[in-house]
Amino acid sequence: MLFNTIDFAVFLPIVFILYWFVTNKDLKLQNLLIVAASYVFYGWWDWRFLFLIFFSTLVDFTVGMQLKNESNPSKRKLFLWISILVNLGFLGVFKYYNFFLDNFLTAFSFFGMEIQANSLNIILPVGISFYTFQTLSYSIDVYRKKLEPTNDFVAFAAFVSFFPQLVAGPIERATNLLPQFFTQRTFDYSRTVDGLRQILWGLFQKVVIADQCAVLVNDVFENYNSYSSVLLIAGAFLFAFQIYGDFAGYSNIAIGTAKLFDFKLMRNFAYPYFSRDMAEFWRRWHISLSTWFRDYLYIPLGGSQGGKGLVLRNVFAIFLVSGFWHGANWTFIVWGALNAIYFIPLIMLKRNRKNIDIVANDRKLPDVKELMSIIITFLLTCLAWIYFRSESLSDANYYIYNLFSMKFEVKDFGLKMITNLVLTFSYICLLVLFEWVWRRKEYPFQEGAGAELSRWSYYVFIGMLVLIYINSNQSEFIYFQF
Amino acid sequence: MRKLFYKLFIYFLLLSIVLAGMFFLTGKLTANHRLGTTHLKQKRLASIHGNKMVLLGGSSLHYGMNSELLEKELGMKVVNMGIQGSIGMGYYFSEIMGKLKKGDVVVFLAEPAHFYKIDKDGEQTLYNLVSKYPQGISHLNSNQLKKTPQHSVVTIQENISYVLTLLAMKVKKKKTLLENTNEWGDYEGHKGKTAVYSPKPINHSLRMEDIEKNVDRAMSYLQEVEKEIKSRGAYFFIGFAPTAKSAEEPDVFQLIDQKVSDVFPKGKLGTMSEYVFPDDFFYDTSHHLLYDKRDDRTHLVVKHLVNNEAAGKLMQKNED
Repeated sequence: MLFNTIDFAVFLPIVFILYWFVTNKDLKLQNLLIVAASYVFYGWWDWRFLFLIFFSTLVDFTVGMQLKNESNPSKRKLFLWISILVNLGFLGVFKYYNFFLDNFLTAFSFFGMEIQANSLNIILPVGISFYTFQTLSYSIDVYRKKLEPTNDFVAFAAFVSFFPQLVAGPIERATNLLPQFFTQRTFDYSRTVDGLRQILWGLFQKVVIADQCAVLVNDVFENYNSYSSVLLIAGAFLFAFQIYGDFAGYSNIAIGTAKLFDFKLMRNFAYPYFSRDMAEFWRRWHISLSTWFRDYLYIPLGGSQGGKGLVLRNVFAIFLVSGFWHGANWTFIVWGALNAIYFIPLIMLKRNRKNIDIVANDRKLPDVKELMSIIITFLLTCLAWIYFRSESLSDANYYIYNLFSMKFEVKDFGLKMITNLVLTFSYICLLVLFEWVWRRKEYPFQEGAGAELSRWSYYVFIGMLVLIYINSNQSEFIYFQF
Repeated sequence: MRKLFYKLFIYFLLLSIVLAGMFFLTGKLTANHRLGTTHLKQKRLASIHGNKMVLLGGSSLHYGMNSELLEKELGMKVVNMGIQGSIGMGYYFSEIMGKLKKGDVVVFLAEPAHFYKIDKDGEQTLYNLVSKYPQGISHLNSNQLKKTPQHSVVTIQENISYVLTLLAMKVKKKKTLLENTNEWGDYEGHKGKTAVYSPKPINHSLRMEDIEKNVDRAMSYLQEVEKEIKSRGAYFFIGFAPTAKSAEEPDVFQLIDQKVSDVFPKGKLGTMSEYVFPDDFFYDTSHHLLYDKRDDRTHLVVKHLVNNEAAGKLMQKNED
């Protein structure tokens, strides 16, 4: 089920009412309802893949129980590996099998060996990369004795399948989310309104920004050979906002929805395009994944401790794996590598934690140096996004080549194109304006600050834009494919 | 919880009011759109005191008729009500029904899609028309009204985009579609323009059985319409829109021809195949004739009206 559909608009109030009125604050019933609702939510897309979630839940729950009762280190390690292999095995089969097969075949044919092998004709289960990482975090944390394993299967199943963040995150740590399933939850008016506000902002990001950018982005990336530099620059710029609006929008809707049920999910985006360097960008973009890799990959590998070679290796490892996590395509790997290249000078010069505060925190506007840093960081990001968005490496390379060819053709700018560009850029300006003004908060207009009239005007205005655009160019969330 | 529901109710109420306001405001701002020509056509319809001929149809009629010539040839005041096919037949008839008098003639120059593709209750365009012509809301049936919330938001979106297009047209000093529509309701903006039509593959996935079912449905609706028109003492005829040779679907056209002949043996004006013209007669789509090819089609309509037993007598009477 998509957040931006009428199905969800009906589903959410039903679950909300059942949750607060029918379960009568009974924790077990509430958890059971969450599991049922989450399975309906996921099954709405394809019920056949529910077994994957169920199986993953069962494996990690059992592994957790075994780890609880087992003190022998080698046996404990074995149980951890079972969890890792099962979870990554699913990912490997559904997401990476064909990629590896194609590349092996290409490599063998390069050496003159022709091998016959059939690729799998399978659908990638929505959100598989998200929930497998979430369940893995449970097994790893239990193994590390950072978390007491649960013996409540329903609560654990609710943790794995919690519908607001099931298909596209934030990837929750078991240490943060799981205990919330054992805590008494009460209805709180302010928190609910906070959640609704955040959902509204998320819908704006998705429906008005991402989906409108998508129209032009799809056109430009599909026809990059026939468009001039100006449109290719616009295409790359718009994709940066499309992917941001799409994913940050999803995260805001997810976090807001969780608040309606008295759950607190971790923040996933913190105005990444106001970052002054790439290190800051990666502290503000897809925070739940970056910190996941930091905690479960980067630090175990040694992190920034050790020699420069080791640090270099670790940085590359985390970015390449992160790129590969996004999809089984060389474009994602190059995207990851490019980000590693951006990041390495900062970590080598120990300037990666230079910008940890909020930009222009004590001022209304950034100074020239800050502004230039923000612009340069954004442009570097845009360049990397071209690889992320392109179908193949050669498409990305040609796109960049054409972009720098500095061609300008009036024929590219018909009435319809100009209209679309003006409108989309206006909405992006609105997004940037709101986010800049509210950059000290989790999302614009959080906590209902400001005079009542201006707040309500904002709610109605944003709601109006969402309703106007919700039926047009409706598309799935990009991160569903990961 | 009560406070939450109360505030949500207020919020959605406010949102509905603002959206309704935006619907009509953006409609007004974009009244220069083709759909806004409905004002012009309605005005002419109301201004004719004697008997009149009301032409109904889609954009093929808006682009492809010389109503002045038709008027001269038939000696009867003509109003071209054609705007866009996707408004749906239901609205066409509903908006003129109250204005028909004894002796008036209604000619429905149908596009093939009217018989099998476009729902009689219309599509999104209908709601856009209403945003520009609020009186139009009184012609919507309950089925159409039900769809208003869903379609009105898309209408606002279309209108917002069109506001920018209008601004760009103003900068380029281009005439709007309304300004290019003459007093009879014919579009003249393509005068002196060359053809840009390029044939496209016909892209509907309907099977012949479905097409037949839809044609039957359209026929029974048209029968009801004919009854109502006749009950007002007016006359009803069905003719056809011009179609480019490359867009001809012989099987479908034959089926429609047959059905129209069966149901309206006396009211049918020619056959669909007679209105199939070479591709180079068309301006930008397979139904929009070039400006200087409109007369070919107009003469054909005159011929079919004059040759039609009932219509011929009527024309004769008018001339007398």
